[in-house]
Amino acid sequence: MKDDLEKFIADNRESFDTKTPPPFVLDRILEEMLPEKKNKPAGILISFHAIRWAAACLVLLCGATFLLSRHQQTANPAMVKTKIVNRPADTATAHLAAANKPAQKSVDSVDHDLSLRKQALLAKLQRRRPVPQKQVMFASLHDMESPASRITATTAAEKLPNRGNDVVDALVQTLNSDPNSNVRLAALDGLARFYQESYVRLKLVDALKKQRDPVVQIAMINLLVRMRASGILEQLDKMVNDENTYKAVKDCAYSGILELRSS
Amino acid sequence: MTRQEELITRCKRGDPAAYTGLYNQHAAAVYNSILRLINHTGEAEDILQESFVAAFQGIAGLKESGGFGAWVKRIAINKSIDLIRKRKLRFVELGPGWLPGEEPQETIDEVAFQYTMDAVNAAIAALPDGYRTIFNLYAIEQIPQAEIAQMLGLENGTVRTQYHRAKAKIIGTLKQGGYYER
Repeated sequence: MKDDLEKFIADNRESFDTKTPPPFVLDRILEEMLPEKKNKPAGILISFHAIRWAAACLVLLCGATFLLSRHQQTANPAMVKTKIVNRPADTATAHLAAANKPAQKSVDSVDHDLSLRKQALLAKLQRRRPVPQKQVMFASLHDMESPASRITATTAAEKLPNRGNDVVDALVQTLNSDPNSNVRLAALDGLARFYQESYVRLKLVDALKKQRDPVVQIAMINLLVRMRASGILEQLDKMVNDENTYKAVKDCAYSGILELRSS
Repeated sequence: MTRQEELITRCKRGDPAAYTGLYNQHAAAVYNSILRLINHTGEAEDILQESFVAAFQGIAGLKESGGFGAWVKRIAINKSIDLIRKRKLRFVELGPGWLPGEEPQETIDEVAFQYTMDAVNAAIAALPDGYRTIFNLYAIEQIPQAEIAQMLGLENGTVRTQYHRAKAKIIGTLKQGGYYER
């Protein structure tokens, strides 16, 4: 039979765990886990022998292509001329084609013309398909090896239009799950820009329940109080009454409760 | 699949968000166990970090996902004991009048006690290091005495005796602190 002291301890076992580890321990663990991932061989290993063969083949192929193209140009210059003249669609090359009409074209002028044509085509493509900033930003948010690039991505997100709440969702996900406090704070700053949207308000109220980092908790409480989000009152009450909550967070939650109830 | 099983599956694939989730579930319990043994926050944080890194690195070999918490806690306890042994803590150091092999004779009167968390915590914290380690391992971490003896490199009888002495000291402290009701 257990004695009273043992029984008391067994009955109150969870009450003995009163301390909370500081947030930076998790950051240090994640830093240790990620380099290991980077050191693993990332793809198929190709032997040096095979690389030498491939390089030799490439050199031969390039040489053959160059010789063939030179041979064709010298053998039939008129064909080159005709081809260029017959495609006057681009404005950038139209005047060039016109200028070249009467003269005999040299190899250099053909190269120059091709490069101009290529530039015009690239410019046209860029006009048609603007740089997909959102995709780049979302990809950078998941760059686990660089908190700096995630912060940059988060800052960039603030400037993007929030169509279909995709930007807000990405920022909320970062706020909830990023291992780095500074990135989470940057995500919160980004979300603050959309403070008038009710969707953002709902997401932030929900995110406050999940957040465990005291620094971010304080920033979230301040933002939500400024947004007059009375939906957080219940969560603030919980935080005030939870003995594991940091004192600074408790103070902030308490003043938030007072402010929300008085407004 | 439970949330923990899902997190463990994702950890096996190296998902950083899953590491965070699993850490958040178990860190507080593990940290408190370490802190009770080490009694130093800086060293406790280092051991917490090392324990979770070791657990995550070995997670591929974990067969029962439900036992992750107990597993990482045991890693942490072993690391804490290694550190305690490096500090060359003497577990055989007992009060006057005690001889090795001698069983404690005094009986502990606990009937008239009303325990409170603060008082019990304070009394445990006031124990000498050797007593406190054995008391924490047996009474709070629920590790059998034979296993404690093996971990600390002591005889079973020594662990049993030290535990009994530690308990007597706690009750003595509680009496002095005015918790005695008789």
